Amino acid sequence: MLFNSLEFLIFFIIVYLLYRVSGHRFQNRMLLLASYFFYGCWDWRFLGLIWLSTVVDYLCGLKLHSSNDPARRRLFLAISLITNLGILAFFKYFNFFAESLGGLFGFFGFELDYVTLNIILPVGISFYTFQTMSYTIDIYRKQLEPARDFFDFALFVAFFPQLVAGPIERARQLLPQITAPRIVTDDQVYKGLWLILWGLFKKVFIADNLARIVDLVFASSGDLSGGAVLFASYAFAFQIYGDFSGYSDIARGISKLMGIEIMVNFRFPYFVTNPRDFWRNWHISLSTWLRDYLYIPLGGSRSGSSAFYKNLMITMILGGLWHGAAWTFVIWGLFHGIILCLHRVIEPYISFSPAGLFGRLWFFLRVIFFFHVTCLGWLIFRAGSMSELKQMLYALLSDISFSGVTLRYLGLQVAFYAALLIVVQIYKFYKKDMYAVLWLPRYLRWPLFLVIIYSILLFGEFGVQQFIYFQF
Amino acid sequence: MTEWIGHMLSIESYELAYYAAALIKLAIALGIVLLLRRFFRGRAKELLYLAFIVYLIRLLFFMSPYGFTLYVKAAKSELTGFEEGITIYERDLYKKPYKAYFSSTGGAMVDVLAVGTSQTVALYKQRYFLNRSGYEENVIFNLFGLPGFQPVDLMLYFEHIKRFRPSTVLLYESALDLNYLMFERMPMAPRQGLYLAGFVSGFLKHGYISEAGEELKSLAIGELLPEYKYSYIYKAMTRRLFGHKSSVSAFSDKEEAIPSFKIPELDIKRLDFNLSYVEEFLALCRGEGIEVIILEGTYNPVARSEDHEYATGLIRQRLESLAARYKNTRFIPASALYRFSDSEWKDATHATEMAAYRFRTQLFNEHIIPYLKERKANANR
Repeated sequence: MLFNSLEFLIFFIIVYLLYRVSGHRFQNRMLLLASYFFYGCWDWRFLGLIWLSTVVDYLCGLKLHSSNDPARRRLFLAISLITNLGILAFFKYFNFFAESLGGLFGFFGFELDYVTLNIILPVGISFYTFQTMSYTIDIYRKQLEPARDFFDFALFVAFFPQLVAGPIERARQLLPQITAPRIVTDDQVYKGLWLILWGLFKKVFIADNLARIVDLVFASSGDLSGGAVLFASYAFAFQIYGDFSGYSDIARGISKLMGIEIMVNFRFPYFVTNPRDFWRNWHISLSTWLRDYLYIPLGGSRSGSSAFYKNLMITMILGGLWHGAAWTFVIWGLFHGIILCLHRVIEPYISFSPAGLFGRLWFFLRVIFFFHVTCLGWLIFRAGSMSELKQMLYALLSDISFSGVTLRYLGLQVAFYAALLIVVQIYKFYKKDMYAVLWLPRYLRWPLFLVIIYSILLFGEFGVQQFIYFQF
Repeated sequence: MTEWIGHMLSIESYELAYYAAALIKLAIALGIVLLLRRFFRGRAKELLYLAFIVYLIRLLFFMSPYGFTLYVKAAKSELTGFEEGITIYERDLYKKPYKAYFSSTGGAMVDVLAVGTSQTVALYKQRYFLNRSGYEENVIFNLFGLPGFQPVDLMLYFEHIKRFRPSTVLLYESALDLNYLMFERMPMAPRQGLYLAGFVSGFLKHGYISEAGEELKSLAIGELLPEYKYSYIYKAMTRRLFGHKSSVSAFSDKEEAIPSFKIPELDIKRLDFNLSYVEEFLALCRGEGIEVIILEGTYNPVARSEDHEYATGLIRQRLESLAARYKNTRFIPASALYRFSDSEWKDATHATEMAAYRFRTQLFNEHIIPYLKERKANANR
């Protein structure tokens, strides 16, 4: 059940009406059932995995809290981590590791008789396993009290707006909102509706329309000019941003309508000048998760430069692998690890910020430059295979020509679909307010709303194109 | 409502009647807004006003005669990917029936209305034969044909077929129509209102709900948001703007694949499903006092499938038994109609113009005119 589908509209109207007329306890139970139904619409068989993760983490949380014995606490933490990472490793990475191992042995001349399984990847598995792991780790660190009510905890794991594609919520943020009665304010309703509208616009107008171009270009990667590859990478940059941040916006909007605040997952990732700021603006719930539960426990930057670079590379490679079981994702993670390290090295030499017009121009040039670096990363991310990636990089580096067709078909389309997004983002960035458009004067705000509404209605596809991040 | 307003105000113009109705609808909507705004506060009031503006734009630009004019002009086949159908669709659906409705009141407006696919269009689109028919009074004839018109469309377009006010409907049903399924045009059908639930139940009953799921959903969304129903035209215009060739539709595929095109092998489930909608159509026609003549359709021998003889025999049998159950229905087998020679086909399913002319002449002289005379005589008795 996609957010941009008729089924979801009907589902949400029913859920929301029930939600608004019922008391807190019934709200939570009903939301839990609705969340299981929502997930079960994809494949009810995988509900068992969510239940397993829920039961194990709930019990481990209680045991961790009640025990003062370090060995016992480590044991319960290990049970939680092994369960969640085991589910993830089996369903997401089994074939990848089996094939990679087979390939490695083959490279050295040994024929390994490995087995691959016909495993279906459960939707959203990477999101809810990370979310529940953060719960037990926080209790282990004594930063969080465990949930007393099992069903409240189950709702924290399965809360439908963010279940299948995040944001990856922290128990500290979400659980108190579940356990305490909620009040829905007018401001939340207004902002929630705006987020849903804006998220739908990003998904059905920008992402789905650019997806057609991107798919077409990547399907014919062998015969492309560098210009076409460049525009395709721009198109994919806006597609993936529209798709993923659109989903996050809708999730946040739906939650707001129910009086629940979930974290901002995207700020202005394409208005940044360096990779560090990129990860502070892109998929924030994952990058902060990786920082708090992987990078810092590894030692972070506390043990000298070489340890810092090593920790950063490990974090980024695993972050890349989180996105999918393929070598292109590993390389994408590696790429970001390398540019983060490079940035650390050169930062002292480029971090001057002149005042006035020259300063703005310098900032603009750096934004443009880093946007292209990001696009290079997206090429790696989107490439279907290593050979496709090589072909596209070769075209990009050897033949940067722009034919009329390329400019008209690719360039104009990217500009057409991304124009309003860019304008609105610039305004929000300038105002330093994610809701800045809501405070525009009425003569600007209403036409903007109408343009967005009609862009969705006239150029949108509903329930056809999956969200990219579902596969993660 | 447009028809009702036109009738009440004696407006004999579709456009005028539409705008009169639109003004009344707007006045009602404005009244509701003024009433509700007392109960709405701050931002909620803004949403109310925005909803009103969207409704205003819908009435003025999307479902209006101007909207349809735009669609007729813009939605050319090379743009939308649909072969010739969209212009016929808009013009015939909205202009002709309304004009027919407003030009007179009471009684049938059309003696014979041919309804069906592009095969039907190919057979009847030249109408000059009527003056040579030998019938003492001109037969008032009209055509409602859409490429790929399926039996389910008989129900989706029933209200529009009814607007022609035909006394007799000619249905040309070939094995292609009854043993073939194509749902992609369904979302473009007119709004169905409450009938939609009944329409969907047919898919549930025959086990086609998952196959047609996306199209049924789009149809349902189009009910709620008429702007979305016509979005394919705007999407096509954008594609043209960027120099993108339109996608090739199933219709074009058929045309391109003539030499190897075969009617699908007989599928009883598919046949039952299609016939259930033909039967529903016959029942509705009976309720409206419309006679139906079902003609057994034929097609180019090159398109015959392995089980052609068996399939056509079975389909003939099913149509005969269907016609026997409905008093308002006659069935004419292919053997009683003009026999097309192998060279009288321009492709797998469409007859050439000359062959169509011969077909029509024979059909009217041997069947339709005697039938109309007989009916007139019965009425005078």
